[in-house]
Amino acid sequence: METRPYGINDWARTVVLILISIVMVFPVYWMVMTAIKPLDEWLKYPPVWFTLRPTLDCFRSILGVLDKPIDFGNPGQAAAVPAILKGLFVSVSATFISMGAGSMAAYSISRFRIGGNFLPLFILSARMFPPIAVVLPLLVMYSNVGAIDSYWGLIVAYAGFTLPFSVWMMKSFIDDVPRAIEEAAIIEGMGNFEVFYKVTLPIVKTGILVTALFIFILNWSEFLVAFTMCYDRVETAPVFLASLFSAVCGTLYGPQAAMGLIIVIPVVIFGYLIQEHLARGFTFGALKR
Amino acid sequence: MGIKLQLNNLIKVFGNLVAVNELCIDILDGEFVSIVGPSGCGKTTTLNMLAGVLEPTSGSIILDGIEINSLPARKRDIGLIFQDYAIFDKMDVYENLAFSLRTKKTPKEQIDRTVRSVAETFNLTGILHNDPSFLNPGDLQRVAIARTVITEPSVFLLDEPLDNLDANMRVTMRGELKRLQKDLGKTMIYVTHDQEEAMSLADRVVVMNNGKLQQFDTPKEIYDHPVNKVVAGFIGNLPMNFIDSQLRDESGKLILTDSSQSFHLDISSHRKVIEESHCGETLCLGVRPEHISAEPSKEHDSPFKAVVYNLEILGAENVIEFYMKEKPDIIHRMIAPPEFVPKVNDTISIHFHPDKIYLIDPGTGNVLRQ
Amino acid sequence: MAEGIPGETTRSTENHGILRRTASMIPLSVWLIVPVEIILIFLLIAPSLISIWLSLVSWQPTFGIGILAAKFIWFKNYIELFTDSRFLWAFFRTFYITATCVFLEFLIGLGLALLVEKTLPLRKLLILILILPMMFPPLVTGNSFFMLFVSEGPINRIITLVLGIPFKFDWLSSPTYAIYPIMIGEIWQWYPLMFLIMVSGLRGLPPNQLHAADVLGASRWDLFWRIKLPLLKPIILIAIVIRAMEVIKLFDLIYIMTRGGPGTATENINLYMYKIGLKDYRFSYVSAGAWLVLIASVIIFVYLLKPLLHKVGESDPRTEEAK
Repeated sequence: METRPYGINDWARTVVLILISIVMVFPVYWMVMTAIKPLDEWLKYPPVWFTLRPTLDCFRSILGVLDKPIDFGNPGQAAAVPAILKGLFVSVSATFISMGAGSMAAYSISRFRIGGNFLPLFILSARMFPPIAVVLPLLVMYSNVGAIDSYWGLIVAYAGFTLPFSVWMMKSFIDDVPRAIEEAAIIEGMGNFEVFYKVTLPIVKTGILVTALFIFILNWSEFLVAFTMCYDRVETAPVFLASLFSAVCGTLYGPQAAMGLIIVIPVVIFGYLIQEHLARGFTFGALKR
Repeated sequence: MGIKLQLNNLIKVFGNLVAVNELCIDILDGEFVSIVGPSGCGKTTTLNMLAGVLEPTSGSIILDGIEINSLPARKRDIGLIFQDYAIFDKMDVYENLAFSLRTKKTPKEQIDRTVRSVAETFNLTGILHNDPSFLNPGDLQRVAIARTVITEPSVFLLDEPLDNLDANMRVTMRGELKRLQKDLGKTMIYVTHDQEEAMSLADRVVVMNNGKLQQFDTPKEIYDHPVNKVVAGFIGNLPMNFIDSQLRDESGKLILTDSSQSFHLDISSHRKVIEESHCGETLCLGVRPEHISAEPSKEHDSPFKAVVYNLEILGAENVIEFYMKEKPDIIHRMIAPPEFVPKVNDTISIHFHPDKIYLIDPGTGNVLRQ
Repeated sequence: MAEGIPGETTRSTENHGILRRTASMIPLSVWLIVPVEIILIFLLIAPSLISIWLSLVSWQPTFGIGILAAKFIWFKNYIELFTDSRFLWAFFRTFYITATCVFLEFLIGLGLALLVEKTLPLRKLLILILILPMMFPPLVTGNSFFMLFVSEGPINRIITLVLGIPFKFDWLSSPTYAIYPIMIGEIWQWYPLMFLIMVSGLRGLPPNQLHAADVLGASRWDLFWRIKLPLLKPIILIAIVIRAMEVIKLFDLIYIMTRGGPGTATENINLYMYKIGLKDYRFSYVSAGAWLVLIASVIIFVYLLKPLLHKVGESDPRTEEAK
């Protein structure tokens, strides 16, 4: 791009973009505000744009910090921490499995063109199935082996759903590695698997990290499958958030917003870390920056 | 012929790099000018500034008396043909040609007539509806030129247009371009790194190096009277030989020789210009391979001893690479008639014509002129 | 080197058991995809087969029998679906939501990408802010927009201030209008992806073609419509297909904002399948519905992607290698 001082045109565009950004950030702002408002301000109308009495009560209530118990009337509302931990466990495990299987397959597809055009597209087609449609047969399958509401059941399901991403993203990263490097290693006597493990993988380190974070984000944010296949023991963070609606005491805006923030913050951090590669991720490797 | 295009103190800076440094040239109407120089000398940058693709850091460009540097490219009366042709590959050839007419909202029938007539001139009628991704470079280039000709600019800029063609096509297209320019009668500025191309096509040649203008003259002048070592070394089919040498005063004669006394050249006729230059005792001697002879003749002076390093037989002539005795790391070249076939490591006698040598001030790099 | 050298080198296979020897006969390329294949068999093939079976029988978990013992009823489920107005509404609503959201996301994404195309002050910061919505888990987005559109919420207040008259509308309880906050939420969530894709696409345009158009006299309008847009078509197509694939599966947002209500007013196919399948337990019926949706999606996507597939076939890297 040309380096020249900014003209009036440029500043005009910046102003427009600032206005648009303000509009786009507003929902986030509102959520943050709601999370720190005291109870009586939640539903005040006209709405309180900026609270003058910020409080961490909403956070405390869901995290179960007992020095100042605030009971909003919802039994089981203080279960945020277990939900977060379970969510983390499931997400991380599923990420490992998906990355492990996916990277190997990606290498095979990239270097050996295994499965031709069919296999990669078949893997991709897994994303076309509406999750609900897969959940029903899965419930049938799982009930036969007692895997409903089980950690492993959910982990395996998550691994499967994110396979298209791990395979295609890793394939895209591996494609970028020049074959000459691998061929040189083979000529020097390395076995093929050794080459994959010792030569290629270290080179695509960044790709591995990016893909893993991407898949982790997907797993962590997932709601439908966790919601339908688990009902009691395995409660992930988003499922817990949904439970903060209760028939008993209506909608708990404050705690919901607080939980929302808790869920969001790791995702936003990781998301910004890998933001350069987001386009590549969501387009299954089709677009590289 | 009036002045068509003036570049006044044109400067372009990219960060720390001065790509074009105070370029001043006046180009006449209908002239064919080449800009030539090694890669990175600033020639393409200059062209891009003329076209409006780049904005100069300072200086001005004046076309037909009007300053155009603040005008956007589309408002300038200039056409630019890119090195990679930049054909719009999502349109067929017809649409590429019609592009500029459509932007002017010319009526359909007129567009059709103009496109077809230009297509015929450039032999494109057969491929008018082809997809550009399947055309060969020769066709692509004609589409690029035709596309620009349709806009009827008053100045044509060409950026290394023959670079992508194979050797034979290049020679053919060279002739066609020269012909085209004469037919159109428009000013053409042609950038290339191939000095032979520049010399054969142009009315006048601009030699650039490191962003600075070295010389702007007719091909003959540049060949016969290069202004400095850069021009002398760049122009000419085989590069000029440069020999570091020393001046001696011997019995009233001014002699040029080197440290190992392998040659002995009387340059008394150049005494005046040497004294005026204050260059001391060392001079760089420049002589073209075509001006070194293996045969003595009346005009030639004392023979030099040289050792043959390599021999290339080209058919119409031979190229002999040699070095001076006791300086085997510096290789020079000469052109000899096909009958002269010494063996490698033979010692031969060669002669420099004292009128066809160039004396170069080792400090400034300038050629000392009579 | 299209096929790898078979797994292990033939160094010392004599002393290894039969397992090792079989293993070395199968090339590495096949071994590497075994884990993926296993997962796919369990999570894709098996459920698909079960789902097909379910759609062709009459079965509910409440029947108390195994699924294989269910009564085979051929295509009765499918036929019934065609006369089920709730299903049909959900079906078309799904595609309506998909088309509208993807289209608007595309417009916003492209518009913003064009705005940031050239350098401008604060460019990097603005881009970071603009892509923020994409980082949100959809459920949290749903929650956030729920709070925005509640009767006592800020949106109503803003409209009141703008219109000058009191406006207190219960968006999420309105059968006609509840769908809009949902779509706005979805568009808010995903326009950044379109934006990023378009930015990447614009950046990848061949600069010389753009310069050439400039020199040939193209105005900015011409440049955009006649040069940039055609060059962007393949990328736009990919982006639209990928987004559409995901919007069809929309669930989280709708669930948390309206649960598909009021009544069935905001039910898309996924909400429908959730309610009928997991509340009414009509597994067979819902499976048939899922297949209908899948078939419809595949038809649409193949139709959309056809022009792209041609181009991909021409420049297949393997055919290049063979030359």
